[in-house]
Amino acid sequence: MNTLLTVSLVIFKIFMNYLLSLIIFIPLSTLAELIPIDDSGLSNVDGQNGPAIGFIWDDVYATGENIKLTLDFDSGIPLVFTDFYWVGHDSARKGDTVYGGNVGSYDDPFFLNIQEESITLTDGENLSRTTLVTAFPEGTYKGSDLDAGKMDLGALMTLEHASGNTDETWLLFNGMHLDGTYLKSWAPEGGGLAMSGELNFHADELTFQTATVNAAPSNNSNTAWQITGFDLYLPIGQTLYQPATLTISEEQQVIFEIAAVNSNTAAAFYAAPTGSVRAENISLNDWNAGTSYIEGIQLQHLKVQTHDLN
Amino acid sequence: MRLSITTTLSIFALASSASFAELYPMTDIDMAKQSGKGVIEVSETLAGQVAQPGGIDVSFTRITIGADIDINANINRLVLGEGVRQDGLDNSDNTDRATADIDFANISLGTIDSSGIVHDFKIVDPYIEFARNNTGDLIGFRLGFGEVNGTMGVEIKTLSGDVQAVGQLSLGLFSIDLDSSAHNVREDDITDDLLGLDIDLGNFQNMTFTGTNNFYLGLQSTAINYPKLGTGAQGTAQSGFWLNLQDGVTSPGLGLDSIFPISVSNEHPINRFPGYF
Repeated sequence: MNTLLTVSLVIFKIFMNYLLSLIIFIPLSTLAELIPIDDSGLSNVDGQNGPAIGFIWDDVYATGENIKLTLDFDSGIPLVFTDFYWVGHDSARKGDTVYGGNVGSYDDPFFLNIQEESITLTDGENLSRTTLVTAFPEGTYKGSDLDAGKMDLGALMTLEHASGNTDETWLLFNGMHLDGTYLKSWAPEGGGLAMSGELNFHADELTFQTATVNAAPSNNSNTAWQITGFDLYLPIGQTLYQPATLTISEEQQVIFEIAAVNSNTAAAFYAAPTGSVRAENISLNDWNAGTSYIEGIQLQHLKVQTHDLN
Repeated sequence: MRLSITTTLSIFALASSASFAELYPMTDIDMAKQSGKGVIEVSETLAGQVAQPGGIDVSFTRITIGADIDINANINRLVLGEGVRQDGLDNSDNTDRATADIDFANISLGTIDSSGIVHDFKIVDPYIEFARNNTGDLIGFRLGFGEVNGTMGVEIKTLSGDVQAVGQLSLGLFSIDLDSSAHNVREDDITDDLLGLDIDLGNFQNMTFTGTNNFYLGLQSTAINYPKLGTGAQGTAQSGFWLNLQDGVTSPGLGLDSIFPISVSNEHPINRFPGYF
């Protein structure tokens, strides 16, 4: 008999926001050691295009002592997210001593700026748009006295099964960076949020590691799905001719859409960079699945709309 | 339903100060009052409920997202499981075998017609399902879809998986039925049931899916029978990457929809605007 657990749309949205907030805001609470940039230093920060605010996160680390998310279902089976951490690369994990890492540097800071773009389409139509740009540094991260340039990120989830066993699952991103990742956003007509961006993610190692507690006959067995040498590059929409929008329907469902290409925008679309994914090695316990990759990803249209299950 | 959460800020609020006029923070108390929207479903299949190869006990945990996904996309190349297989079912054992579990080129999801109208490939309720043995070891997982509809173009160079189809290729009308066995690992051709012809999988250029509900891609460290969704056929997923393409793909115009679930042809569907091939 299946045990069905239902999570609310609101919780889903909150959870997504939570994860995103974790990335963005947790470090803001650890900025005590930020060093102000003087006028001379600021003048050397050029952002990307035009005026920008550049900043770095210095000696950042966060561990799960302060963060906990519990989804407590009607069935009484809780899913608990805890022990998040974000530390300098190769810092000790799981309760050991951790070291902070820096995100960005004075030469290559995280930045916010306002950017204006324009394009002439095939039929001669001119489009222009002003956006708020939020971007990770395009250079490398600067880990403090450790393996410079990368960070570790992880979270622990526990799930109590109907069988009575409890699974502890670590999701670990080791040696990661998001160099070149950016998000451009603006307010479209009709409400909601419009955006475009690029996700540029690298991790030396991704690990999905489970430990089943109280499982007979072998307790605390550790198993893992591991990917080494993972790279993801994915353009998400385009500011001028293929915006992505995020809206909420009257039924309180989430709608994410990347506009469809048309004959007028096709020339620009097909000339743009395509997405790719590569994993140098994938292993599932004792099975080595070798190398996998996807090349030349082009999203000509995407619409995702949530709905209630059951 | 109770929710404990310590962080309420949103990246979207940060991303666009001009667009969050309608957003406002919720307190923990307000959040706890929200219920009844089942967008995520977690379900379990206990050990013993699905018979497994070798009689091993396997339990499953499936996380389903309630979503309708309309997508139109092109992918130049998809290669999964490239390298030596530990079970020897690779070209080190048989020079006819390919070097990857799955190798597809020129994948298209959806079509663009002569009028420039974009037709989407439609996916309903995607899910990820984890398989564990009786000691709790993770021995496999799959990414699947509750239902898919639409046209997929592909040049199959190598397939590890199940395919059951009927098609009208340049050779004429024939049926294709690839059963689930280790022989389906890293194959580039299959044998036609009716005529006994060796058919190159590269002929599977155009697949039309109608109400397919057992379309999944899995990775296993040992052979697994996943729980079956819907009424479609589903064989045993072998070790390595595995694609199940057995169920619910109809054959419009051939009148065989209820018998053979896949329609294929060797004419790749068009999914680009004219002048951009």
